[in-house]
Amino acid sequence: MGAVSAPWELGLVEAAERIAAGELAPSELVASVLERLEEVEPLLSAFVSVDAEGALRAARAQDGRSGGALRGIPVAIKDIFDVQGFPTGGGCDAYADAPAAASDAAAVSSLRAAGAIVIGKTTTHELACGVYTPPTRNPWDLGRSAGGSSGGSGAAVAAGAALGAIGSDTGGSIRIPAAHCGIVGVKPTYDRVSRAGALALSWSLDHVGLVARSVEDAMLLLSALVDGVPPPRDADVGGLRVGVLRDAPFAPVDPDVTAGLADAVDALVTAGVSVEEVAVPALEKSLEVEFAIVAAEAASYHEARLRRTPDRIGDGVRGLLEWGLLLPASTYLRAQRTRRAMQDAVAGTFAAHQLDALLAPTVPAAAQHVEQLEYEFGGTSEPVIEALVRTTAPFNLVSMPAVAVPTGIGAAGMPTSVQIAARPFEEGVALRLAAAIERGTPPLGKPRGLEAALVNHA
Amino acid sequence: MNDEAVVALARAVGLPLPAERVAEVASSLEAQIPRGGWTADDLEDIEPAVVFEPRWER
Repeated sequence: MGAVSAPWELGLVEAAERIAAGELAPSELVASVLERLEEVEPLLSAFVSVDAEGALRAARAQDGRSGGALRGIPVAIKDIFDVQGFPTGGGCDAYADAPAAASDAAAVSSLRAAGAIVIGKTTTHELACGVYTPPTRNPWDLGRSAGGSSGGSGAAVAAGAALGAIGSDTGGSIRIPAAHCGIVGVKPTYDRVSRAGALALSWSLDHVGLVARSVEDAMLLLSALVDGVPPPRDADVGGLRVGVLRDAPFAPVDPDVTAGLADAVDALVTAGVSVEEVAVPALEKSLEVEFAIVAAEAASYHEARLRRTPDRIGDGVRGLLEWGLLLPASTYLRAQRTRRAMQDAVAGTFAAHQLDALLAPTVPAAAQHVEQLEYEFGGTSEPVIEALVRTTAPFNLVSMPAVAVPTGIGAAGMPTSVQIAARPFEEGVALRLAAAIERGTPPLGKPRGLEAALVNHA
Repeated sequence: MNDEAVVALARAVGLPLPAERVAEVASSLEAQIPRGGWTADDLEDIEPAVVFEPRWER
């Protein structure tokens, strides 16, 4: 097995190559991942359901056969997406009585068509609306949050309990857990991956995407969902131009994050990328625009359940739905008009500086402790949800593809991350630039908190 | 945004809002209504970032 001791440790691309070469059977890989899942799940609580029997049956059916690019690759699905035969719970008691889905969500169907094997459904912060995802824990520090709302997908992939996973990102919900768990998160262009068969949070801001342990893994996974993704090892970025965003809402950030951003710039320059500082003041009000749109659209989407079973929705999300339902149409439209102005401003910046992409911190600080409600930046407190969403939401509002990629380990022993955002439909540009940053970053290794706990557990 | 206005709004849209939640919702609305982005002056001639695409099923 080379440098790895068990198949679950393989990267997605390497596993796919070994399966294609007949060196690894899909059933062997799936069994190994399920064994790892069983080992780590009591510590992480990343799954709401695991279909071990179904996954092994599907894997055995692929043994010895040819197939798609993801043949035999075990993947996990955030529990807002329909998976045939399983209820879609959305992390909310109001959906606890949901019947088993009659068919797969479009994204799940695409993965299966490429040969992927669904091993289970992962936790989500309630209704995909939050950045904690209880009860899931962070594999780097079991006392910290995995982020959210796709926290289960992030924790599962970081821990080796799946080789890749699907998530959704309305205001950072893929990139935040990716950053906090030390993995790669991809939010494609708006509507690039179908939202069919997924619970909505905000129709105009929801983006379907993925998490994986490396950029090349993310490229292969994304290629099953959309056309035009470059081959996993196509990483030529020479001559590209990148603008770095450091002003609000991308400030303030912790010193570790500033250092990670500097390392990312160095990696890009080493790869032949031209990097310059840019500013887009129009993005400063991203947070209030994001909240107005999400609250109004989420309240409308969930209105029937808010009327029928309000007590089965947690207080935090329920409060957002309640004020969202009463928010004047004028505020919602002001937000959507400001969003258009933001899109125009970003497009203007790309044109004026002849940019191919923007670079910014993914999140301003390391993962919060599970009970932590505020961060401190230079002596000033900021609610955790506002801090994490202010740096990610701008690229939901502008609908650009954005890729979160690790930049190292900070002083607290937690991963840091930056994000690369490219023009709409240019996921390949963002991924190639993310790969250049990844090449310049020492490997993070296995999540330390989880590995220490497993040793103590043994 | 006072509590009475929130109760009246909730009743008008049919939202079941228990008395103990009124103050929290009023406070959130008070904070959120003036927000949502730029001023009307700044937004003149800017259309919202939502489009309507007519679709008919045959």
